[in-house]
Amino acid sequence: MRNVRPGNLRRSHNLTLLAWAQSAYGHNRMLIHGIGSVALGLLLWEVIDRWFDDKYFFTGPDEVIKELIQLVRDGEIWIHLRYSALEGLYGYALAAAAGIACGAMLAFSRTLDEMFSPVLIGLYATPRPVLAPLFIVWLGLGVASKVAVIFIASFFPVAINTTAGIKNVESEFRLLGRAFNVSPWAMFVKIIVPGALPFLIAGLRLGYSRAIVTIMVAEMFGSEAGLGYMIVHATQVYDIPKMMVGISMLTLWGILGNEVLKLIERRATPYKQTLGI
Amino acid sequence: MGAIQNLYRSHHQLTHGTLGLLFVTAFWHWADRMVANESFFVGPWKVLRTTISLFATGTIYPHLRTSGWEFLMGYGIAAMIGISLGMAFGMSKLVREFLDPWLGGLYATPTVALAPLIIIWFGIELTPKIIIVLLTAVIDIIINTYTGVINVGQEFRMLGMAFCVPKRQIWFKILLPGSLPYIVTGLRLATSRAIVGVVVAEYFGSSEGLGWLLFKALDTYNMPLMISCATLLAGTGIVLNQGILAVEKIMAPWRDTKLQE
Repeated sequence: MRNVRPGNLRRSHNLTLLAWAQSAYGHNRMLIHGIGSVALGLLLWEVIDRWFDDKYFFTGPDEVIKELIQLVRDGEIWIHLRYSALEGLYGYALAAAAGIACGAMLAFSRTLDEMFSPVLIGLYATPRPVLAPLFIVWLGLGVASKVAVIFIASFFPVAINTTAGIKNVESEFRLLGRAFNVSPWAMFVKIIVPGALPFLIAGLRLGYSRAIVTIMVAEMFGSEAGLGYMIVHATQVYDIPKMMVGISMLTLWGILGNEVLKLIERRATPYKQTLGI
Repeated sequence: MGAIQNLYRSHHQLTHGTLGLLFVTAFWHWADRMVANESFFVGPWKVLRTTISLFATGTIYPHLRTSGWEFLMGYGIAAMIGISLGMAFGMSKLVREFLDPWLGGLYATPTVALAPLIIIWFGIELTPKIIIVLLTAVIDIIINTYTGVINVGQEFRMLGMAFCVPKRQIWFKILLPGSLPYIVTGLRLATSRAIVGVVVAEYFGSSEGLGWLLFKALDTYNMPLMISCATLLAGTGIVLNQGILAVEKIMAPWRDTKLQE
């Protein structure tokens, strides 16, 4: 709207159309720029591809889409998608449940917190690719080892954020509750849960993005199927389009999951301001 | 007895922390005893001995040097690029609108998946590894810097503008110091990602480095060496994380640094 200046309006013959266009641009500026940027990026990608003109080195968006259609027709992609989704879901769901439970336990017992928080934070900083080979030795090449690695990757952010969230509930609110002689149940449901929820969801989001990365990492070292397996095997035969299909699938999962969690965040904690990503 | 009780009361956090660590080590030792199979599981003492002998014989140093160099270069460049891009994102609405979809996409992409592609493009020398480390680390720094710049009170920026402070001073006297705590958080989160980058990069083609040593141990089922390397890498991650955490506490004591957002 702010692009419509009085001077512009007076000069323009086709006033309504121009004003409409300008206001439409003003209202949807964010969307238009976003779409424009994606389109530009894809174009640039295609141009670079044409410039290299070497399919064993670089590949454009058209070839990636062709490859995707091919893989869908073959049915090959479904095997990998199902395998990775299974790992991801099991690992993440277990991590979320256990993380919230352990985090809450640490938050309510100070001794436990002091005993195990350093260990938790230490394990949180441990790079996951280091653990993947160990679990393959212990649990084999199947789904179990990947579920374990994904569990470990997402467990710690969820647990640490749950503890931090519960401990961070403003003590005034707690005192207020106590002053009004609120029952322990109401204290938990009406004060502690809403106060801790923003942190908890932040932990769940962090855990999710780690889980996606870990699908790749865990399958890299040895697997029977899965997107990470597909990517690594495509690399070994220089099949770059196939590799890009795998990477885009993981990215798509990342974006979708993140959006869903963002939606949950907005619905569950409308009182919290969210910024950025 | 009274003295011990006093000591416990005044240092209960430290005491409990040590107890927790001892508990975990004891559990590790017990698990090792139960398994009693060296090609499958290794206890804490054996790992300690292997690590010490790695240092004593000097075999570890070339690997440490290679991995350290990859880490420092990749992380350093990531810090420079990440902070400047994050500032640009926070400052300019146009940049934000144009690059937001890409940033969101890159955030969701498991950057380690790009590692094989980068090896194809740049070979198996040092450069591709630095690029992989850079890619894995840069995103956290960008996002945190960006959040920091946006979160610097709008009032301060308005105040600066109202007093006609030159743009450069708004940057250096208001935005940069205001977002510094966030930048440090980003730098901290990036260290653990950068270590992941080092290990993954070395997996896809190298002949030296801690990650390479780890995978060689995996191939030869050398469990003690493997856990030893894993512990060294994990230890580096923990030390860097705690070190930057300490800096964070000094610079922004009002922030709860436990929140890993």
